Amino acid sequence: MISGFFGILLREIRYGLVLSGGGFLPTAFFAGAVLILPFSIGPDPELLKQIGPGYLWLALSLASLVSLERLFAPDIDDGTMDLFTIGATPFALVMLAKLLGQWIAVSLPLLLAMPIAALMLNIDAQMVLPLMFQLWIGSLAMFLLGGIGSALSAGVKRGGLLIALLALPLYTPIVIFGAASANQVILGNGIFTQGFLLICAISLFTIVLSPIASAAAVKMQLD
Amino acid sequence: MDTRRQVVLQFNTEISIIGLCLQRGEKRLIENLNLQLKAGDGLELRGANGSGKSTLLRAIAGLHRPAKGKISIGQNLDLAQRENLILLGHRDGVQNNETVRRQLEFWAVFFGTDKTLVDNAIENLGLSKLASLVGGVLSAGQRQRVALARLLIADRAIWLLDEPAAPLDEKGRELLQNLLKQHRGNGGIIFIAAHNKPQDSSYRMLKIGESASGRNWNLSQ
Repeated sequence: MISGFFGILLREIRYGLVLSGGGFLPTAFFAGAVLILPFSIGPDPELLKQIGPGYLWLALSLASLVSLERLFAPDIDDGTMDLFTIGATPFALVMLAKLLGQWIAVSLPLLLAMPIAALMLNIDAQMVLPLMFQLWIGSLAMFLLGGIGSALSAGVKRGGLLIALLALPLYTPIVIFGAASANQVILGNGIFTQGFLLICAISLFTIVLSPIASAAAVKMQLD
Repeated sequence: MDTRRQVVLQFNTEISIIGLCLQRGEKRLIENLNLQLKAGDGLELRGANGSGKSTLLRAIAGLHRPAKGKISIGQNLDLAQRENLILLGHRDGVQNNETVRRQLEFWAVFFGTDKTLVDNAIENLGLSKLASLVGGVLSAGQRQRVALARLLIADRAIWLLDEPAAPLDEKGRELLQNLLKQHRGNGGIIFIAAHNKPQDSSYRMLKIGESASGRNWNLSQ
């Protein structure tokens, strides 16, 4: 049961980073969003510094949407998911392994891009690591919440629009708390302020809820 | 045939289907089906396209919820034990980007079976030369062989096969027949849906869509 869990986890990381490169897609999107910002609002360093932390959260929330369409759909389309239901590993654990594996594959390249993006937005160097940590935990909450939307729409061809409609409203509290806690970091109040604690709570809540909800939604698509 | 695979595979389970009704939308596919198979039995499913062969196989695998009735596997009559079966459907589950050997090794990990089964399966299905290739470059018949190798690796008692011979060549079909014979010899149970030439007379036959007798299915003994 446990070996099945880690088997799938490693498989997802390998597929995302080594075999298909799909894990780099959100990072490309994120980097693009940050690179284009100075062209659209102007290169004033003070302005960038002011909106930078909040903008990183906006870019992250849109970037994390990109990977969701391919979260479950390929395995359902090629019959692999049928086999995942008859293993010794409970199906909700299979879902958890897939979600965590793909989150790792997506968030590792993002972690590399975030400090560069933060520095480009004129954020002080000593603030970069705390902000990165908050964004990283926030991306887990987004991924787990978006995973439910991805599971619900996995049977729909070109379900990307549906996922955006399902996931974006759920992202709103994460972005609100995230931007608030990022401002607290800039003000020098430390990492674990109220907003960030709420994001941690959302992550913990969804790490339990999302695999169960995704399992139910995917089973429905298989029938 | 090959005696190296005559290892300690001994299955002993049974499956009974009681009063099973299957429905897709408004259409009742199978009405009140009763069926019992013991270790070593084989059942051939025949019927027109859309008659419900695949749906029956998926219902046994727990992927389709029956409208009525019960499917029980093994001695435990309350709980269907899905861990005794393996399904080979129309979609082969072969990954395009991963090498044949690595994806088969993954399935050995997932099904919790011994890794030596991977080497045996690769050899048995004549995949030795293909093992280091990625799934995307294989032909349909070669992909089907990889999917058949997964049956051996999963090492489960009940095989649910949905037209397994369709993409295979002459040699592949012969190989498939040998695998089926061997599996039944080991005490395995086989459900096989087929359109091409029938299995031998040791298989019981379930014809779906026969309305002459008043039922919509007909089971030979």
